[in-house]
Amino acid sequence: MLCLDRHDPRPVYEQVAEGLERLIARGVLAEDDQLPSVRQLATDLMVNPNTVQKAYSELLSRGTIYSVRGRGNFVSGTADVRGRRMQEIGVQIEALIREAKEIGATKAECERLIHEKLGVYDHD
Amino acid sequence: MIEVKKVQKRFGRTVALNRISLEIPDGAVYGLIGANGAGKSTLMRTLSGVLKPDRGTVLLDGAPVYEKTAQKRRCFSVSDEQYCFSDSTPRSLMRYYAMLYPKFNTARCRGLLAELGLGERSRLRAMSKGMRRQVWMALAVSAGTDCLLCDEAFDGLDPVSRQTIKKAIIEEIDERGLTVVLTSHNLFELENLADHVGLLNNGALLFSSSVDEVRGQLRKVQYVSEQPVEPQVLFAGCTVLSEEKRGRLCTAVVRGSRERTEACLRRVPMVYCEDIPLSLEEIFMTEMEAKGYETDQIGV
Amino acid sequence: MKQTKSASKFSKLLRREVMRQMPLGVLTLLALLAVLPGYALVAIQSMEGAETMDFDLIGAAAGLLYANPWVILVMELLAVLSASALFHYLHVRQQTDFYHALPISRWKLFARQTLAGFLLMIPLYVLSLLLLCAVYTVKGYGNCLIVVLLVQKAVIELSSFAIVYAVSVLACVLCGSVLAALTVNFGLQVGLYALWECVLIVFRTFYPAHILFMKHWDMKFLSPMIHQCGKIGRLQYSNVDYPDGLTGLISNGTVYRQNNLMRISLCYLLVAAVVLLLAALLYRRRRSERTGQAIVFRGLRLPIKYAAMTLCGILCGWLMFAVTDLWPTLFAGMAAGVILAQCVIEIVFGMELRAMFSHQLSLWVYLIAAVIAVGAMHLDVTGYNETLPERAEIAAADVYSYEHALTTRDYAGQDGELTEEMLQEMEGDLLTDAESIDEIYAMAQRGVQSMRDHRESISYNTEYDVVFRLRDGTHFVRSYYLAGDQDSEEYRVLTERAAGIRFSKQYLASRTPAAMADAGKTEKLLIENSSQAGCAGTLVEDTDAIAALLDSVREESQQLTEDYVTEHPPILMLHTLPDGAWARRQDGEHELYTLDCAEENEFNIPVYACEKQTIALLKEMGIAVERFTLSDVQAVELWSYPQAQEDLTLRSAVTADRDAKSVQIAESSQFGGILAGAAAQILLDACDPIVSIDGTADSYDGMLTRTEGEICFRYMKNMVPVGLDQYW
Repeated sequence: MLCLDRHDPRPVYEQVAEGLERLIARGVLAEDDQLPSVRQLATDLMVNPNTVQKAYSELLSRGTIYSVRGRGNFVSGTADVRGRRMQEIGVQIEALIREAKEIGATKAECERLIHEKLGVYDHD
Repeated sequence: MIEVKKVQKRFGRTVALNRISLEIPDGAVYGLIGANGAGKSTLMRTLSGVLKPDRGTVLLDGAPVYEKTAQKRRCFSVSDEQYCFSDSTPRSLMRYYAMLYPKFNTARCRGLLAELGLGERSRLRAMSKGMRRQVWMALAVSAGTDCLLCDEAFDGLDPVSRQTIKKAIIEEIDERGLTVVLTSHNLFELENLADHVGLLNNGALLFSSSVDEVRGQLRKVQYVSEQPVEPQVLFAGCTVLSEEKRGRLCTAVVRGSRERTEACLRRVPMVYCEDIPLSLEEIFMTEMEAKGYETDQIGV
Repeated sequence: MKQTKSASKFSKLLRREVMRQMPLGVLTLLALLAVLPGYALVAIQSMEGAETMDFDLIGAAAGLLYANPWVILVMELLAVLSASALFHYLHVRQQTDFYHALPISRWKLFARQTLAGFLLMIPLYVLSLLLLCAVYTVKGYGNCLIVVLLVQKAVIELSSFAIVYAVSVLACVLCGSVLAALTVNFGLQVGLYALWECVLIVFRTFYPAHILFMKHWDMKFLSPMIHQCGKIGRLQYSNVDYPDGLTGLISNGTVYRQNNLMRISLCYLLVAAVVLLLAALLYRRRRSERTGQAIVFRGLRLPIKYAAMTLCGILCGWLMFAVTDLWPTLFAGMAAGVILAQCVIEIVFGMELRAMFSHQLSLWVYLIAAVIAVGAMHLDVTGYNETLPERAEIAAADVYSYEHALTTRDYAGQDGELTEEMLQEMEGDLLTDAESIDEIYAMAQRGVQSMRDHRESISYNTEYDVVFRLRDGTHFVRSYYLAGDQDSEEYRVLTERAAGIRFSKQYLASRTPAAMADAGKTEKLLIENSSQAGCAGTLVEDTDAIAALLDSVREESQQLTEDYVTEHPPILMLHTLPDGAWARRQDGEHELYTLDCAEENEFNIPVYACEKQTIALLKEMGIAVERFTLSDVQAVELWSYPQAQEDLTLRSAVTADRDAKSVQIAESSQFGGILAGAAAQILLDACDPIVSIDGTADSYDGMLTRTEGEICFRYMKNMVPVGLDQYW
């Protein structure tokens, strides 16, 4: 499900948290689905369970998940997550546009490219 | 929490540990790396209460370890060349340690041994080095101690058994908050398991911090600016650890937070600018070069 | 709850350790079985098979049971082995790390290992002892088994084990490698004593004038290994000390008590406990990382090295001297030994060959100190050997020598060195007349001279000890040696001085046999002439007669002079016998003329022709006053020594005459002529020693035969009958 990038300069718990958010946003983990236990996730990723615990705490504080005593952690509503994800996608689009500009693309070229790519997904 | 305060240890004329200070928080997996002869084993032996520091102290939750049986009962240590009685079998060792460590979990150990495919009644002396290490790690994990000290923990283990042991360690950490100190020649073996790391060289602790901090501290940036500008100037306020220039392309490794470096980059109009991801090994090597060490001496 | 838990845990771990040492246990059992029941079986078998008359089988079996030094030796060896096995982990880094990482305190670890050694030995020993008793019972010697003695035997033998074990454990703790531990162990077990003996050797070499009473300086207890073995071994060969034999001692339960063995063994047990405590304390301080080095405690390196250098130096020096007999080689040998020890020890400490050149400063310091010390002794800086007090300071004196001709102090039955009791007795009762003191002083001066001339080779010569009491009450005691052998002029001069003393008024009045004999303690008086000596004679039992005779001879003997006794043979001998001596002699248990008759008041008193009053008394008692009773003589064998006849200065005692010839004379009419001027050797031995030196002839002597046996006789120098050669 999740995988960690060794070259990623971000802290591990952040990567885990973000990875989970991505899954939630994509709908792999639906609302009220149970998240894997700390131990299970730690074992899968081969990281210190405390790190996973930290990631879960982060998600709890953001409200992305909620915890039920004795039963585990569950996914909250996906709306916020989606919102955040869209924001991050926006950041990435910005980076791509900048790169296009650096190689001398015009605004019209960029727009055409985006529309073209969107068209691929249009019939969804 | 394990605290090492200005520990010094000499063997005759050689200084094996030179005023080492570090802190290992509870629940951490601490990876101690360094070349052969750097002092890893000496530090491990000091932590486990075998050696008495010439100066300084080693504290486990505030109390010293040396010659204190109650404190030693909270640690299980496996050394790089662990001795075993000539007739020992995993079964006899389980019984032996069960006498010494009150929380020893025999059932757990048996399960682990079965998972590793090791016979309980086979003699240790007849096993290969790797198999013996597996037995020791199984015993260590099942000992029920608060602290685990393993010198060359995964030395000679095949990837499958390494995974099994790591899983077992993770389970124990989750179960009861185990603190683990592992030594290794390289970071690869430890992969993501270690969340803290310390580097020893010639008896001195070059640095010790959490892995996250280490990772987050360094960034490698490649850029081409419209007006040529030196990395030192561009990244004023941060430390430039290394720099390289090829034509107009500058590559710099900078120590500083992400926000700070990005702010620096935004100050100057760039033709091209890119973040290059750094692996942990590369980070180490850069740090060492910056400190003036030849990296092949460290053996990272 | 916690106490009992940890106690049971300790006992479990202890049991595990004992089980782990099974090989050692098996070896121990085999060794004990071999030396206790096994040895007994074999020995009893061979004893019963041997056909010797009068062999005290029971006594021998008992001796085997209670006085077997092999058991002690085996137990001591097992002790070394046990300690080395149980504490081997201290000499291997991996094992030390393993044990010291475990949550066991060092006290408990030490206690566990030490106790394991005892647990391996004691039950197996008891088992072997019981089997030994079974062997004895089965073989029919059950009455040798006395419970009290068996318990004592166990205590003695186990204490030998305990002390050697304790010292071995200490050696293991002090050292970090197997080789060093064995060496230091050997050094502690035997080397301490050897070192002491070497120091004594040096002392004796440089100060021959000092009388070393071994009783004070016998430090065998420094080596329990040797001490216990020796003490037990001596029990077997003690027929002289225990005339009732070993059986008597055992049935009285005194065999061990006589030699203080129980007290010694209990002392050793105490010392073992102290040593183990010391080892435990040192173990607590022992640094784990020093495993692998030779000596763990740095401070011990230098003392050990110096001790080894001393031992090696003295031994090498002494060896060189013994082989070459040259004085300078003593010093060369010492230096060589010291340097050799330095190299070897440094190599062992440093564990490499190049280390032999390290720590040279300590070598130089030692060499300089040694040179100063040895030099001071060699030059006799204090003048111990050569100084004498001023003649005017001397109030009384005496001289003692085992050479009877040189002594003024005769200890009947003591044919050996001066002991402390003898010295104390001497110091209380010295000669005080000025001439005697002068003579003794001259003897001392001669001794000092020879000490000066050749101190190094002196102790091979005859020794005489001089005691002076000074005016201030202190005593001056020295031991001097003849410059030459007994053929020399020196000897002659000294014997004459001594003889002069023995014929001084004071001596004649108090120290001759005649003067010392006490009629009150004499039960019987045996009177013999030269043809009765040792075989026959008259026994006088009347106390008044005895008293009268002894008083008379005492008075008259004070008129004797040296010239007289060297020119006149004794006619008769009076032998004073204390209570029971005669009865014992009849039983064959008592020799009258051997040096063993150290009975109180047993003296041989010669009677001379000039002692007219005594002779008159004897005649009144009906005793024939004649030198030989010719009717008792059956035959005479005459010996001629031509070499001595030619050279009258030759002493037949020293040269064996190659041309000596003998002849048997059976013609009784000739006996009278042949025996004129002769006297039995036994009678002559009872006279002053000067008689045998100056008074007797070496040209002829002989032996007469009578029904009871044979009697040797010799001639007075000036009374050799003329024409003896005709008999050949």
